[in-house]
Amino acid sequence: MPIIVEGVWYAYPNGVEALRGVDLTISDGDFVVIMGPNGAGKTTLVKTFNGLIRPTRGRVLVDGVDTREATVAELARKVGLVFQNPDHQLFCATVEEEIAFALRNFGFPEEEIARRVDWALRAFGLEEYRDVPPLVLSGGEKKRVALASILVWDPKYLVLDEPTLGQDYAQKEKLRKMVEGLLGERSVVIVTHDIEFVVDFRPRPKVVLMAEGKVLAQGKAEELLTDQELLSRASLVRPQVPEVLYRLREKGLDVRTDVLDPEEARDVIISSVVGR
Amino acid sequence: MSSLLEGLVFQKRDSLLHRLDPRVKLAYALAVMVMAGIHDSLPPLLAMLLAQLPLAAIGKVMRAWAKTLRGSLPLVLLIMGTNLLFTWLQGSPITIYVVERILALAIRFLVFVASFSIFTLTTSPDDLSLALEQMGIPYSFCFMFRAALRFTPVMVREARTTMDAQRARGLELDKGGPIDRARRYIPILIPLIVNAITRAWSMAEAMESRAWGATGKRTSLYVLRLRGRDYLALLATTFSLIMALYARFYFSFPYILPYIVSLL
Amino acid sequence: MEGGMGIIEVEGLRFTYSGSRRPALDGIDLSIRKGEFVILTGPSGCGKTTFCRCLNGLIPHFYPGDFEGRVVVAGLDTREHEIWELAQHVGLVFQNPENQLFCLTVEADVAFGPENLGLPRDEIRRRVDWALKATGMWELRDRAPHELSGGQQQRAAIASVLAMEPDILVLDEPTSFLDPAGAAELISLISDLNKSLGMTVVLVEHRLDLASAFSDRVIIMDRGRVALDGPPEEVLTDPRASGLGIGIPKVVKLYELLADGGLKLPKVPLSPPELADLVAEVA
Repeated sequence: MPIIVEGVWYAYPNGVEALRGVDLTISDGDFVVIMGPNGAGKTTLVKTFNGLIRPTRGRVLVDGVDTREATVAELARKVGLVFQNPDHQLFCATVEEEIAFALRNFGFPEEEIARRVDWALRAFGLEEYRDVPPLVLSGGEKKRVALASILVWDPKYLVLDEPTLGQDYAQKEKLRKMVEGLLGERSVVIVTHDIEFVVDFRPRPKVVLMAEGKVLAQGKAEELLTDQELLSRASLVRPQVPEVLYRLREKGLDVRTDVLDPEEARDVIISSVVGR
Repeated sequence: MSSLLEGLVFQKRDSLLHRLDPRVKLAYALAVMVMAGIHDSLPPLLAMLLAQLPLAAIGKVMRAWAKTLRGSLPLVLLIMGTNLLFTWLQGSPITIYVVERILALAIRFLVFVASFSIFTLTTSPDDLSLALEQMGIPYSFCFMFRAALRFTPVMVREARTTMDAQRARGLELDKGGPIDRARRYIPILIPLIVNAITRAWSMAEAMESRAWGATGKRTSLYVLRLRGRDYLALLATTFSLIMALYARFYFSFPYILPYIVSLL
Repeated sequence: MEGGMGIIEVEGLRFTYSGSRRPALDGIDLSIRKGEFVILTGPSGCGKTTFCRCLNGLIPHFYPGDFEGRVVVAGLDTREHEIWELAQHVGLVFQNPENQLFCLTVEADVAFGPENLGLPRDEIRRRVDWALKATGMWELRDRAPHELSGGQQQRAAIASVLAMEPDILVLDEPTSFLDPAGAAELISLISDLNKSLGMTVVLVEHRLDLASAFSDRVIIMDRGRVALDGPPEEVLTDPRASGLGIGIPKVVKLYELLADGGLKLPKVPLSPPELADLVAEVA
């Protein structure tokens, strides 16, 4: 059963309208990337999935349950939201306790907690840090602990809010591989404006472009992320590969522009140059 | 309670009061407190309270000022109630004169609130810390004061984000008895405290990198200079203070409540 | 390499933080000339931030540890001069804009540095006005920092450092918390300052796709040492570069793929327009 966002509006207490009529469906096993500038409402939108924000108009259904009729704790069992900055959530004396925190909140039995924590430590390469305080770890390690502490309870929907902030290239690649490994068994939603990061995912995600509290467009990455006009309305920097192809087309070369992959672009360029 | 606090927050306006030197305004607030403190009869205290009204109007801060007064009414009633109770417990009869004296106490409290809030509503924290600096308080303290003000909204925002992040991990903050609830806030407090310490460290680095401590004789881009209007305001304040002192020691104010009651 | 000619001279630099077992910097020798725009990059933990701290004296004066070798900036040996002296030649802008702005208005923050130096008021005024205009923050000078966007905050931070009138601008991952539009704007500003003021720039940056086109030189660090150092066209196409865990821009990858496919371009492009121009010429 999916997450259904129906005609959702949300205004903050100070009057700022963050969401202005959003309709969206996240089905089982979906891989969705939500993109747009700062202030578009992306983070506000994903906070409606676990009830942290309740719509002022419209409704959000998670597996058939209206979020206004469930507590955040109940919704969080299904929707795991990983926040941008691990420094806003890490607080325990050891990594082990940190990962177990949510399980204790949800009332898991102790043997199951121990089993799941062991799994998480192994899956995220954190075994050597089991008894280390999370606060002394490096930035990249903290992000892994944060991610582990959410995935440990195996939520059906995993939402990552700006997971690439402050990460270097190698860390982003690791994160990408990890996310790719999680696909299929659960739905993954990533909020980001890092377009080159999104473009390298295989399989390609469904893309939702937002601006000013509304959804501009939803669809396949190859179509949306190569559409110049849409990208500029969403204040996104155009990915380099389609940008090259666009400029070549402007110069008179006969090339497709809906290409995101460098290898594909090479073939397109060479065949068009040879063709002349 | 929150409406009481509203009168303490600076409001940016273009008014005569806003343009006065903060030191003059501080002097005014203190003078009014002295004036109200030395009087305990109702007529002068009422007069002092009413005298704040035109000032609030000139400062264009009427709404917030009125809200503060309204917000302090519970406290006022508490003061009056406690005093009445004690008088009754002492066995003294509660005459109309006693009531008037207690009412005067309440009005005095309102005068304190009214004058102090005129000061805070029309003085920006920047100007205030500059005033403190020029009055000789060491720069480090003024800097701490300013930094605390600067980072308060940031910390409030962080607290909200941390609460959201922990609730998203199943933490339920509104369950349990008082002790249990206090414990549940630990996952919120620890990140806040740690981040505050990290922030202090980053600030120190940035300060050093901009020549903090280069010289003991630090200069300032901004300087507060007393102008004509400041001297006039000081004069008016001093005059009022002298009048109040004179009235206290050479005047005897009648009780007015009996007179009002007899009219009804 | 001529010794002692650069505005930054680093000889045999080794540094281990107090309490740490491994050196953060393990032997660095390099020379940066006046007016160069250098990008410093490398995987997390390679020592980029530590190196930045060595340039303005935070190391060794603020961070205790085991310091070997010499760092000379604008003729001053960092071991023999206090941070506040070095701060007049090297301006350091940090990653998180929030914590570098401590006053209640942008203008006050920009004035902070010159005030610390005890300069006369009209001199402070001149520097503040100039720095605000140079960074496009003049209209926003009365705003409080928390009212600004991340990009505006970083520009305010740069202004506050410019007011010290340094010769060298060192920026440690300034675009980390900015969105792509903000990042592009900031890097463009930094490039302007480099070109119009002749300011030497050391920019620590991961987003090579945005920044490499503006640079004269790219230095890749790895585990406390310099792994590659040269013009961006050479470093980014060096076979060792991809193994160092840095993000090679897609246009460079495409350039290499085209070369493999038989289409060899005369120059290494660092931006999409460049690549398109080169292909169009050859076609």
